[in-house]
Amino acid sequence: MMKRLRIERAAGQLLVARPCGPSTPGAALRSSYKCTTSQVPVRHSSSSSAAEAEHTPLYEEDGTDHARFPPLEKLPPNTSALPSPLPSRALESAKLSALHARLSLSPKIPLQTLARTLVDASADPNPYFNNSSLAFLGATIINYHASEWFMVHYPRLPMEVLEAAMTGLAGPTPLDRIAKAWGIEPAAAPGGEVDPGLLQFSLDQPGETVRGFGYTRTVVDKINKNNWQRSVAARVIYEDNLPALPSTTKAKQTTPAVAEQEEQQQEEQQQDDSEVDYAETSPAAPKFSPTSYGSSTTRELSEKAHANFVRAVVGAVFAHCGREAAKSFVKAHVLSRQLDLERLFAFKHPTLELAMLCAREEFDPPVARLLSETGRLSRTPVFVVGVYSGNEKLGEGAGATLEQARLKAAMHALKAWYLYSPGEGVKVPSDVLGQEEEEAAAAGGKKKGGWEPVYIDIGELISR
Amino acid sequence: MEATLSRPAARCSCLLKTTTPSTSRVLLLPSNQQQTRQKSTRARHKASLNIPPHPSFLSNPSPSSSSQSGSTTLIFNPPSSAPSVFQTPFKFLPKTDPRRRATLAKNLFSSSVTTNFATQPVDVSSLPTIFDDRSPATTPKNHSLTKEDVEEMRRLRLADPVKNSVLSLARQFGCSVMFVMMCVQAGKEHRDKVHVEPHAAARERWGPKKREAKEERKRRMEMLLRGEI
Repeated sequence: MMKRLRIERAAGQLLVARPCGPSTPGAALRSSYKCTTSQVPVRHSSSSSAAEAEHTPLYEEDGTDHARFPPLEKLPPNTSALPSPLPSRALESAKLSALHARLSLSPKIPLQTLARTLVDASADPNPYFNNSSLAFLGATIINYHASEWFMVHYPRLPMEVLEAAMTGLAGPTPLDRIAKAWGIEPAAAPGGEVDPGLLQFSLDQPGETVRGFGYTRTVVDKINKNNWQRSVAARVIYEDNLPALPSTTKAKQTTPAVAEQEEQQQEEQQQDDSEVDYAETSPAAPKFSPTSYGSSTTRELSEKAHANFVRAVVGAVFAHCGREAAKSFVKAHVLSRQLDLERLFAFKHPTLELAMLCAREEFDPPVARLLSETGRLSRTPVFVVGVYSGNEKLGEGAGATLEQARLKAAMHALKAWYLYSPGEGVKVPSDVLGQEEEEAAAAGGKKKGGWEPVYIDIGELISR
Repeated sequence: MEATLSRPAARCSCLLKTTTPSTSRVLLLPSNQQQTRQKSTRARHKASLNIPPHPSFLSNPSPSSSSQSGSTTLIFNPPSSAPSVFQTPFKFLPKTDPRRRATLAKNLFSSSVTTNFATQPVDVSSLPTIFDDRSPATTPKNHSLTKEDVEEMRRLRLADPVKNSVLSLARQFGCSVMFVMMCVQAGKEHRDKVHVEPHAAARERWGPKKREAKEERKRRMEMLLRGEI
């Protein structure tokens, strides 16, 4: 097992504070790991050889020769046998305190909770010590605020585009980027002896995380059994949230994939002792550059762990500071990111779709008219075409042929329809959630509505 | 030189020619490739370069008064660019939107539209349309087709799908192409015979350049529909 060397602690061995943190309620549960927290760690002095001789057997579980590589930090006994660091060690970690300060977290959030958010389910399967429950809570909060924002600000988005937008704003990839922007470093391998300020996840075993509570609809089994095609809307209703939460089924599916890939790599290494070619082993992973570290599976696991950490932090903020603090945290870190909605659209038959739209909304049928052109007989002509419904121009597009320009104009008109927004200053439901309670409390029985109903579209043009 | 050229490079070459005739022969292109301006074309070329300034530079409401008072005028003449998707057309605004009420009168009572290119408002109906067979606007629609008509349409199409194409049936019955295709579908053999086999035979004869060009065209169309070009 690899161990991270903490060079910054090498010089200040004597400056390390004694572990004297308050025992948390969760710490008592550690007894299942054959470790008693009541046992006071003996002070380890490097000058006394007798003490070294006493303690060396305690550190030998992982096969490290502690005579040659003495531990940099005085750890409680049996620490390296634990799957994740003790909660009491959170108070000593400089990394954790720095992270707490960097995120401007409220002092209500203890360092022990922040330490727990950094332990992935793959590192520590015990749900009392990993971040799975906090991550589930945080995921629901992030997804709620993101979907609410999209629903109010872009009420006509088709489901597929909405799903893509949610994945682009609150999916694993953006959350992974957020975690990296926060300066989260992963530990080389999880264990009880690593710094609690490092993100701990295992690349060997995918952990099982909480996916959802409640019941599964019986229809889902039938759909899966008959292999029926299902729309995005049906998926949202029956199975997944948007975007899909970390699921246990997916985690189980990765296990054979990992094994298969390892086999492939081994075979290739046996065939020729050159390095594994990324283009061959991971053809379906274009989002990572071929020069980045690790294989596609390990990068996926890393991304998942980073994303779960961000979700867990949001969950911790909600648990300790309440709804409003969690909302402003999500707004500041997740919703503030830029997402180009225009680029999420792809059409099949834009002119037909526009004609259907005009027929449904009882507009005049769309007519493409040539607005301007240049160089019709040259090698590089440009045509500018506008789509009109009656006298009103719906869209405009420029292209090298009349057909291209017409398609672009129709696409422009459709995007203008789908990306209608009532404006920036519109309230989302959670904005007036607290207000209504206050007003109801102040006015007594007299209820004054703080919520103005927002525009809701009648539905999608083409069901996908 | 018959004519004075306005391009600086050409002027340089003129100078070279007059001053150093021995080197000019080396520097300049051979006479059969050299561009020449004749007297007959000069006026035309000069006239085409004479572009009037944009109307926003000219439309000063009262130049005498502004020069007297010394007040500055704002000229708004942005470079041409593709219109933004986030500007919702009037028709697409829902009835509750306040922007709709603000521009209601303007949009209801105007039949002419100012395009980006014309200085004067242009009547929309005067703009040339782009013909599209499938567009419901350009196809005359007969919504009163009876059951017998549909039966007849089916019989004709199935009897001779080559002669009675979808387009000809649509014209014959005065309905849209889509309606014909909804009513009757020719058999798979006909589809293969008309759409697959002749193209397959032609595809056999394609060389690598043509094949590549066709594939690129297909890829470009996909990119267009994804909004990438």
